[in-house]
Amino acid sequence: MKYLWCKPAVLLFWGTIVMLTSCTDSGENRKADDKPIKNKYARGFEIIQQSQGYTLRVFDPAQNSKNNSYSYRLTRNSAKKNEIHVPVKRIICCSTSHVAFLSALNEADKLTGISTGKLVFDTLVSGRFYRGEILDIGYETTFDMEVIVSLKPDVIFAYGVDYNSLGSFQKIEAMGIPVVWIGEYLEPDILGRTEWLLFFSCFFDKLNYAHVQFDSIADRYNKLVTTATQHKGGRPLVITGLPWRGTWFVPGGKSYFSSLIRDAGGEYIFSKDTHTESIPVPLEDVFYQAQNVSVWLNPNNCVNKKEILVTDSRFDNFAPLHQAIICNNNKRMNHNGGNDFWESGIIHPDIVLNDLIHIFHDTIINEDSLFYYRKL
Amino acid sequence: MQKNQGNTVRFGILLVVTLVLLILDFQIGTTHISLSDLISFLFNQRELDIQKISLIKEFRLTRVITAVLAGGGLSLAGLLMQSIFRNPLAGPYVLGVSSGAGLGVAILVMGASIAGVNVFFLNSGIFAVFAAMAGAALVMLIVISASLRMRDNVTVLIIGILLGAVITALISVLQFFADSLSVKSFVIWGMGSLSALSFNNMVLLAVIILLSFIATFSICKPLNLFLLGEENASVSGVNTRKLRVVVFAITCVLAGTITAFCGPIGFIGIAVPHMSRWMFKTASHFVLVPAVFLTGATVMLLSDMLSYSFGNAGVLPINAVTAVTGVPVIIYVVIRNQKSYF
Amino acid sequence: MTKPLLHTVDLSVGYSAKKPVLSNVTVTVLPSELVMVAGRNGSGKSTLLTTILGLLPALSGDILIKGRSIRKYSHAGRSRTLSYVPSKSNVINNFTIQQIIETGRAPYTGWNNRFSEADRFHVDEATANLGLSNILHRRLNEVSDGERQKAMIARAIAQDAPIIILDEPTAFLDYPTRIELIQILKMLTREMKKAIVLSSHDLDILLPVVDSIWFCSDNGIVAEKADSMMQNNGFKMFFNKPSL
Repeated sequence: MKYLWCKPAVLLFWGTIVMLTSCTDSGENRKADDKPIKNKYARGFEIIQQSQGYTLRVFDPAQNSKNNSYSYRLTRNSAKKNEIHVPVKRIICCSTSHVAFLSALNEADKLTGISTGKLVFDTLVSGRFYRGEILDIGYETTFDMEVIVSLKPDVIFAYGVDYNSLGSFQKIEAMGIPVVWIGEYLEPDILGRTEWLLFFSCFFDKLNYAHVQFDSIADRYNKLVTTATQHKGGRPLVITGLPWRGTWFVPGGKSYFSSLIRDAGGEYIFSKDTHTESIPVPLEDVFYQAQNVSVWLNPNNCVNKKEILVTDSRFDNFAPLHQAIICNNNKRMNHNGGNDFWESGIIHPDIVLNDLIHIFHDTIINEDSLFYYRKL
Repeated sequence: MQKNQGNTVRFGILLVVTLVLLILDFQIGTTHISLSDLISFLFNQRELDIQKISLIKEFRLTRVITAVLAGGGLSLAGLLMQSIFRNPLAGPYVLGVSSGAGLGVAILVMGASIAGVNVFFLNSGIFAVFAAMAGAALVMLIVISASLRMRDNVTVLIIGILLGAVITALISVLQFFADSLSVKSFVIWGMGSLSALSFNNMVLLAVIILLSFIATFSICKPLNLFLLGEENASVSGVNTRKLRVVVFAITCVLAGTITAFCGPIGFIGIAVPHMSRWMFKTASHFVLVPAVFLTGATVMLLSDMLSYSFGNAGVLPINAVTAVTGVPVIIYVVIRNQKSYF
Repeated sequence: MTKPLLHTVDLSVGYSAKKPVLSNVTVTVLPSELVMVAGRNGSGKSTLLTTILGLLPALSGDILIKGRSIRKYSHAGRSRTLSYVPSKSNVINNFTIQQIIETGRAPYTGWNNRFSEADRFHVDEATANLGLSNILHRRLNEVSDGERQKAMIARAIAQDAPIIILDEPTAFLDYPTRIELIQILKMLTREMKKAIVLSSHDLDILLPVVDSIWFCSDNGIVAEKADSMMQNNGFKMFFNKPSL
């Protein structure tokens, strides 16, 4: 036997096999130096650290998408076909929440194109937008392909609410521009949303920096959760939103909203529901079940109680309108309606939680102690 | 007109059925409300707690009466359209009124989001009603002025249908440019809802429908004559041009108001007049006007009950239910009466 | 000389002012007169009758009914003076024969169509005159063309207007029914003192009974008394081909 593998022909045969297996380049095969990173909270992505870069995987980045995953290869070397060279220098974003991630990584200056730029709250970025240094690429169904191509982006971070809209990005991919799907808004865990910071950081080769940042945010958040749950005085009942045409669309019991309320020491009245997305509830039922809520959050765009009454005069008989604490997360809005809650709020879940804790547990709520929320 | 004893009996049965369905539909909902609760509400409110009173008044009673008004009103409008156009497939929306209402709501919900306006009333019930009324009124204006100028019935019908088509195209442009949330809000409006009204809104709707009913009943004779043909009607003393304008006006008010409050609800307006003609075996409007109203109320109450029947799926949009109940009726009646519809 | 019930003054009828179908029409209808409107197809008979009824606006000229211009009559007023039987009854509903005849009383019943004794009487009389008593409860789609036509005539009679205008009433009827119909019309003028204007091709049946004939042709309209027409051979107007 030991003579067999010494023969040159056999050597050649085995050598070829070894070479072939080591040169196979599909994202699915793990190589020896692959270091997959286990996320603490996020389920929508996976990072695999490698010697020359990273392999990123995104899972089901749109609603009603099932068992779809996307792989992206990032490399520090010169990029071959289907690879993205990092650090990237020119970026296009399709959502204002992406802007927050970039700002946190100090890479917002790499932004060259954005969708709905007038909704950006971040002053530096919107300043660059209004000076023309960042171009608007249109939106959802109406992307301006010429602008996108002229910007020569290294990557475009895509956002699609519906599985069916994923197709509109095929044209962009056909132009050779890498499209990377971001599904942070679908994370049922608040810290899971923030954890996408790690995902973004790979594009700038700043994974360790991002780890440090995220860990401290998560730490602060969890400390606040501990103080909140230890608070004596019970959990206030919470309702959110406003009805439309006799139906109240409310977040499901397993949505991020429900867990956020629980973390802040409150009790969402639909916390026993099992959906992660919104559920339609007949207005009559909400009226009956929510009579005793003590906190009413996010009544759409309203800024005072009179406006709530105008939306539906039946609210006059709804005790919470008169008795509950009503707060809306639109304290930080730019004049075009862009809400910072959906932007920097993603990377400051601890501040959001802090606001809610004040709302739930302060005997008298001081407006100044709230960052994202205003009291109606 | 000859009196038909059979019809008196049929009216009696129809009235009883309507009342029974009213009481049954009243009891449908997650919270348990019984018949005795209703009686207490009507006669001795001190026996009930405040929450139940509010629930009964603002939600149950309002929803049930809205069903009666919307079902009866739309069916009445459908009868008017079928008589004035002498066409069995005409319905309350043939003049483009519901499209006009839809455009008003589309501009409010989607157009404002496109323009970047972000005020509280975008998702407000009452502003949606105003916007819908404005759109419906605009279409009504166009249709009435066309009918005053045109000699021909068919020309006005064509104008109405084309106007509806143009408006639908405009709405789809708005849908193309608006964000997903606004589009969803508009789509939900388009599914129709009987529970979007407060008690006061319902009273306003009731007044309008009642006045329209009285107006319709007062033109039963010319409508009967109109079924003989425009020339024969004119020779018998009917001012056909004035009749047309009056009929269009009543229809626009009925269809426009109901669509403004409840969103567009289809198929009932076309199916119910045929059901009534088949049940009462007459073409006379003196019998049909009240018959169609009651039958429409019955069908709508049934549809409302059905929309709550699929417990796990939640509440079905009313438009889906009326389509499922209305279409088979239309097909059955059309096949059965192939020779003549009236 | 009795006052004319209907008198047209230089009437021009048609659908477009540039191409009137008939012009300079000056004709008269006297009470109890039976007038026949004759002419080839397309010569303007129906257009003339429709204009006289007020269903089509006159291009120029005037129509005087009982000395008053038709323009001064309301719809209701006109319906008490003129009644009409169209050539083809395109009534597409399922009224019963009785309901059809009853609509004749529309100008006299109120908004709720309540029938008085007089109304009942006129309906019953018209029904009897046309021999429709046996089929009163049949619906329109259950009777023959002739019966349907008779119902429309009974309706016009029940309307009790002094002038009855019929547009080719015999077109779809069989020969015996045509004779029957002409007899009824003659009775209406003789006994009920109605003035009747009808358009028809049945020269042979009508000639013996009519009082006047209006000939319509490309050259215009010519009205002749039946007796005098026999004498001066006015038929020439009708057959304007020299060979005939």
